[in-house]
Amino acid sequence: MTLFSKANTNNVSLRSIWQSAFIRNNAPVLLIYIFILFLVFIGSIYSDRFLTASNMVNILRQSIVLGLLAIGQTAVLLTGGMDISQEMVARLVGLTVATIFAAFDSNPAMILPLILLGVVLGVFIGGLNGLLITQTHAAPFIITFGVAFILRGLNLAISSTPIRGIPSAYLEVYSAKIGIVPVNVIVMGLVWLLAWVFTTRTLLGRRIFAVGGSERIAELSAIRVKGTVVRAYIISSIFAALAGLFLLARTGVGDPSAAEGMTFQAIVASAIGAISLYGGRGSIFGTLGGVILLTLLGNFFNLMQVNIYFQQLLLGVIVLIAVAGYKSKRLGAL
Amino acid sequence: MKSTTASPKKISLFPDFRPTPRLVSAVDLAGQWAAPIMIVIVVIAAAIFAPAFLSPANLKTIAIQVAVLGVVTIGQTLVLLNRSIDMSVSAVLALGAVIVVQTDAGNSLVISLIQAFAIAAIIGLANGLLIAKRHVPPFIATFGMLVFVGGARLAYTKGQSSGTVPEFLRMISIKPVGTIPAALLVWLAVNIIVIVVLRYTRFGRWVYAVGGNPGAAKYAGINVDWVIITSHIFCSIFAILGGLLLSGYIGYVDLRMGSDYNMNSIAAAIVGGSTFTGGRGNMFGTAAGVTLLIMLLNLVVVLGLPIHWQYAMQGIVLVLATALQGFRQFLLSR
Amino acid sequence: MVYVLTYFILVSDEYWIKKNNPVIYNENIMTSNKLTEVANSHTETIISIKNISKTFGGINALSDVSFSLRGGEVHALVGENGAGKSTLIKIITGAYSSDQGFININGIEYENLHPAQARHLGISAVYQEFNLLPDMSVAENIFLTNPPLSPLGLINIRKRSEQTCQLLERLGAHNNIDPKEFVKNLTVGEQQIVEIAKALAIDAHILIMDEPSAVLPSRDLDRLFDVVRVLRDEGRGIIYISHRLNEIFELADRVTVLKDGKTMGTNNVSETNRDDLVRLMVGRELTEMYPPADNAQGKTLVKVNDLCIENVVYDINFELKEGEILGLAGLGGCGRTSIARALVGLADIDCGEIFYFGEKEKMTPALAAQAGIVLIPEDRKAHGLILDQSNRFNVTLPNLSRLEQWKMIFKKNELAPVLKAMEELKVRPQTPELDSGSLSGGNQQKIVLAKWLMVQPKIVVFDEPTRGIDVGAKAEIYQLIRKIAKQGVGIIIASSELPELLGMSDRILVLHEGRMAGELSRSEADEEKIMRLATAADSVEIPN
Repeated sequence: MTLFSKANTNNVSLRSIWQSAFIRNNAPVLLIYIFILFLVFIGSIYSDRFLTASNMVNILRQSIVLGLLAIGQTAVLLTGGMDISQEMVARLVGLTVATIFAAFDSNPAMILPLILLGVVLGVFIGGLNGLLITQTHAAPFIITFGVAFILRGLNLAISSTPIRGIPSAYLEVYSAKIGIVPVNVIVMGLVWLLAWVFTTRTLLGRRIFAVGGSERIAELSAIRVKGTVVRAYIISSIFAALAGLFLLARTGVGDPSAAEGMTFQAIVASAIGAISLYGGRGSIFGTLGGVILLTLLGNFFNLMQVNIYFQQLLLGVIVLIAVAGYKSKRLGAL
Repeated sequence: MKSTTASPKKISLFPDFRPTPRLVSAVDLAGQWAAPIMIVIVVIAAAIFAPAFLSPANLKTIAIQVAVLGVVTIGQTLVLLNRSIDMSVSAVLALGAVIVVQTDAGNSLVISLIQAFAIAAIIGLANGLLIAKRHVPPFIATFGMLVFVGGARLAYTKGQSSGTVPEFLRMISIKPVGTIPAALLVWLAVNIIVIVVLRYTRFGRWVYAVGGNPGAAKYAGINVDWVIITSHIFCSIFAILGGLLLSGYIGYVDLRMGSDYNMNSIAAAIVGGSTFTGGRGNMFGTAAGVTLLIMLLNLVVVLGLPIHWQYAMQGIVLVLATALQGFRQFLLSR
Repeated sequence: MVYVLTYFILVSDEYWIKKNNPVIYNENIMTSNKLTEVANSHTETIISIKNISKTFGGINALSDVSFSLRGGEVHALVGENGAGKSTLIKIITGAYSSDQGFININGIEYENLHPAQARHLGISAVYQEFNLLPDMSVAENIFLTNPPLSPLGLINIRKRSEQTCQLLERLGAHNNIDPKEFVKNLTVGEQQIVEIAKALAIDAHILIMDEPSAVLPSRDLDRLFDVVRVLRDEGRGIIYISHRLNEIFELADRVTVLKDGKTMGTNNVSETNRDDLVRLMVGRELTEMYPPADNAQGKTLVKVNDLCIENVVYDINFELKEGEILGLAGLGGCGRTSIARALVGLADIDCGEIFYFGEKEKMTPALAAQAGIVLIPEDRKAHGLILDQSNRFNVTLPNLSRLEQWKMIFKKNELAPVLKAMEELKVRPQTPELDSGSLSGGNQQKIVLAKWLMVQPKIVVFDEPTRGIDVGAKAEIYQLIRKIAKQGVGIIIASSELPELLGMSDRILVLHEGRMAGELSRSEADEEKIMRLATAADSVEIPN
């Protein structure tokens, strides 16, 4: 039964179809990577210290915290929501773990259980966020912000000064290296890979996209919308917890002001990475690009010795441009 | 022939929950009257447990704080009524203080004031354009503006807080008229003006129409874009006015001033009965919400509780208010 | 090392995936034994509806409807708007529950179906509004609920693409649609194919298509028909809803006519003709609801020249005079609403001009309100009223400048006109402070009318003026329309209710697929003639 009169090119090769669709659908992300390369290029001209392996590796290591937060945030953004409690969760986990370490006299045997505890804390808070949001049908950013405030109070209650007493074995997390490459960079790379697999290949990952795309259609396709949303927030908080644990290793103390402002940076990184803030659209590559771009920019500004205050200004301009540029096809209210 | 009846699978938590009209109006009323009732409760509780709360000095402090937050929240309410939001108020507020403080560098007071209001108007215009014409989600657009304005302020002041506050500002803020601080009168004046506008002018009607149903407003011949833009302009202007009052109160310019005002203004407005979906809310409720919030925060201090309780309190109020509003929205839409 | 543990924690995400596997369908998607069985016996009934009735708040949507569908047949369902087609469909797919009656599927009788149950039984529907996620690929949309999995529990993308290709091949679109393409990049016709493929993916035996040709440009129609034939030859039963009689005679095996919620008859297509169908679709007694016509007509108010709106209407020409009531008739998608909106400046015009009171104008809603050109919209809840606000608020909204005193609006100035309007229109309850959202449909429409009549319009365009309104309110609205026409107001009524048009209009313009099909004067118009023009029953359609 021939339905088309035009001559069919037999077996348009699978690869070329794949290529054209890939480029068309990912254009904004590719732009970011081009921009990154551009920055690297300029940086290398400006200073010989820039393009060295150690600097590059350093940048990658710097990007880990933001990366962890951004991955978690992406999960939530894809559902059309937002998690503003991330930095507080990170801080909470850091402080709690540090306190317990100190209480146990920096016993290295506590490392593993405490890491687990940190993650469990993340699960708990993420679940709280998710449940509040799905059961009350309220705006996610306000609910998570309220939770953030509560956690901020909780954090201060735990301690307002840095807590010492981390076993030095734990600090290995930050400093361990294979050759000149820190182990954590490698692990982070694996984490990104896993994140990619999760968002493109797993059922839960795809369901998150579906829910973000249209709750109505997701519901019709027998997806449990509420459960999926809750899981997204749990993921976000888990990653926030991991970020907190990582920061603990980096600074060596439980810091009550850790991760200041990083939640919004994570959102910005994702938004630049073409994760639509309405949900349902975007890829982890984009987030990765956004994270690297932001970290690189920070590094770049320091290199060029840009006034630290101008940095924030420029960041704001970039955010505004990025945001105004990705004009979403879905028009609507808040 | 077997006859079977389908049993609905439980997809949501309350699948057959049909709210009775009485329940709906009860929750609706609760949402509207929550703030004033709570104020009464708080005052009574304070009278019993912390008489210091009602001392003239403390009341004066409360009054000024109410005035500052109140002015800012009036703007925020206006914007919320339009189904929009303004996350940049804290930056605009701080900017106002900065601009005016530079007057001792030789500019006349009047010029500085005009500059301040002009800049506020431009910021509001930019916000409004991004939201109405480019269809950027309000949260994101104004958040970008927050980062941008914050950066601009830092760049402008080069990180230094300097300059003295002009006498005029101190006068309109702190100086008591009788026993009442002038700031409170300013707030009341603005309140009255805005209430009159919202209730009795065409523009006020348009605001409620646009927030309640932008489609119907358009069909009725209202210029929806213009209404939104104008609301944002006024919101920014009120924010900068708040900044002026605040600097008059504090007496100097602080680098970190005003950062709480973002979320506090939103929380106060929500507690006072406004919603994120627009079209509902009024200035009386907002005034009550502001008063309640300040009272709670003040109570924490008076009771001698550590500062982290303040944060916790802000968070709890926010979450409860939002949850209640979200629930109310949900019921109303059923 | 610590890392391994961290790594492991992340992998624990996998744990949720296992927990989350719904597994609704256990049959392999690609082949089905049931299918070949049914294909072999084209007379076997796969679903029959018996004596279904459904009432919505006092209005009988369906009364004692019986209907059966055989395997391997295309069964057309026709009827005007409001005849009950969509209600019937929603009952079959489980979105609604019927009040009485049974559904018999493959020998088992059900009182009511739940949506998931309906899907499981192989019922699938394709509507005009597609249920596709635009930012996901074709393959993903088709296999959203039940993608093929690799042994690890991950989605097997290659296999999914293969299966998608197989499905598309059966539908004949294999070479045009790339399974990896995002749905938003497809044409409407291609999207429809994807929607149909979804039904194939769950191996639906009962396929409902709601006006599938309405969204397609004519060049895609052939492809659609071929797809339908493919599905039929596979032994599936297809309920095909359309108002284009030509299609029905080309495609369908049997046809059932619905009118006012009742079945008027089921015939083999070969044994009937267009005239019979039209007669079954309409043909009812006109009740004495419509006040007699006696309005004199004056000068021309509006003149529309060669109006076109891209993809919607073409070559529209008409005039409206003072005191005249002009009816716009036509079946779904014919462009009535677009013309109505264009007249008040709510829709952009691509070619042609509209002259208002002799002057050519680019109209905007604000200008229109000022000039006295007014639209009573089709969807009063979305476009007509601010439901949260009081009646008083809504009624005065376009009239605020008239009520100002020192640039302000005082309640005391508002109340009198509002009350007067509410009384004239007999709004019940007559409380200005009541939220408009709590009024009944008829009263809501009256508020919309009050609002726009207070503007003292010269031209009123009604789009579905009495949709969803009880009989009593309807009569009142008709009286009102007559009254203002007598005062010299020019009126256009765009409606899908033929009796209404026949009872009220001085002239009726019939539209078909965006073009003017004909004009009937009051004396010569009757339901059949309108329907014939609206379905182009007399013309031979040449897809271009």
